[in-house]
Amino acid sequence: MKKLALCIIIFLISPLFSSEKENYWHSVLEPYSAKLTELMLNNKFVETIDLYDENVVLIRPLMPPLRGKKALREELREMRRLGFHYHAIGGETEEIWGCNAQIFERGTLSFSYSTQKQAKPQAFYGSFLTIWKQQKDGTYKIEYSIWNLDFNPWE
Amino acid sequence: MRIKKTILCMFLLLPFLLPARTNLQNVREQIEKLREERQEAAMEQNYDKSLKFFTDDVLIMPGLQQIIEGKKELKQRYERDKKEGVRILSIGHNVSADWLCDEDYYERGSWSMSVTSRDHPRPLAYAGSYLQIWEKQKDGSYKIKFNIWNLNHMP
Repeated sequence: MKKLALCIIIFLISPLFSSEKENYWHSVLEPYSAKLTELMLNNKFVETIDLYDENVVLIRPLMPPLRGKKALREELREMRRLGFHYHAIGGETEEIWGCNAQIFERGTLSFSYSTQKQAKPQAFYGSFLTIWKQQKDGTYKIEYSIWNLDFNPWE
Repeated sequence: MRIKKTILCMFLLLPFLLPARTNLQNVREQIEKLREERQEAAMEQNYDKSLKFFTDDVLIMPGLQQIIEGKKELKQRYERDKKEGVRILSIGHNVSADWLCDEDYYERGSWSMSVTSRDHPRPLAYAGSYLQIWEKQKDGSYKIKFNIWNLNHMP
């Protein structure tokens, strides 16, 4: 009887552990996500480079994948040169989980931006999955990120 | 004496290290087989068979389309494809990285596909990137529980 009661208690409180785990991963990533958003909104694109792993792979929609920090640095410089300006960055993490030395984060995103040539802001929204990899010093950096648009801009 | 102890330790650790490697290889082979079966089903336009490769709560984040939540919604999408006379002529893929997280199989890479439909009798070709998670089922088989993909080019 005691064993049965124990099993029922464990069964009932197990979802609490899972949400607590999710809260933990949220708290681990929060400072990095906040820094990334803040730097991007302040047009400090090149400064975001420290948040990426050396072998980062970025899968953006409608363009070839970007591989490695060197390629990313060039792209960020190009963004600055083109007068890229983010007006708003939003989104929601819908699920977050950790495994080995990686944290997986998936959800939705939205943003609007303008450039020197295109002064009228354009807005987009979509879905993403990002893998954060733990570094030797214990910090986390973006190792892989894939995102897409949830709509067809030509339709 | 110290060398003997080291050898003994290595010998004792071996059973714990080896299964991890062979396990990934075993799962990889299992998935490869499923992938072939799934491609076959897709090429045959066998939508009922195609649905069997997904978990009931599958989450698909396709490029330029709305998120698909659950097998029911996926079935509706397949039915729409059927109505539109979508025919897959070829499917290709390349796994650039794969790993196990708990007992689930994660893979990411690139894909390509050529299709025709009633509105487009001339083949259209697409290519892009993806990340997919195969969830281990109670019976030891694997089903797709998450997929995100996008196009690497303008359609």
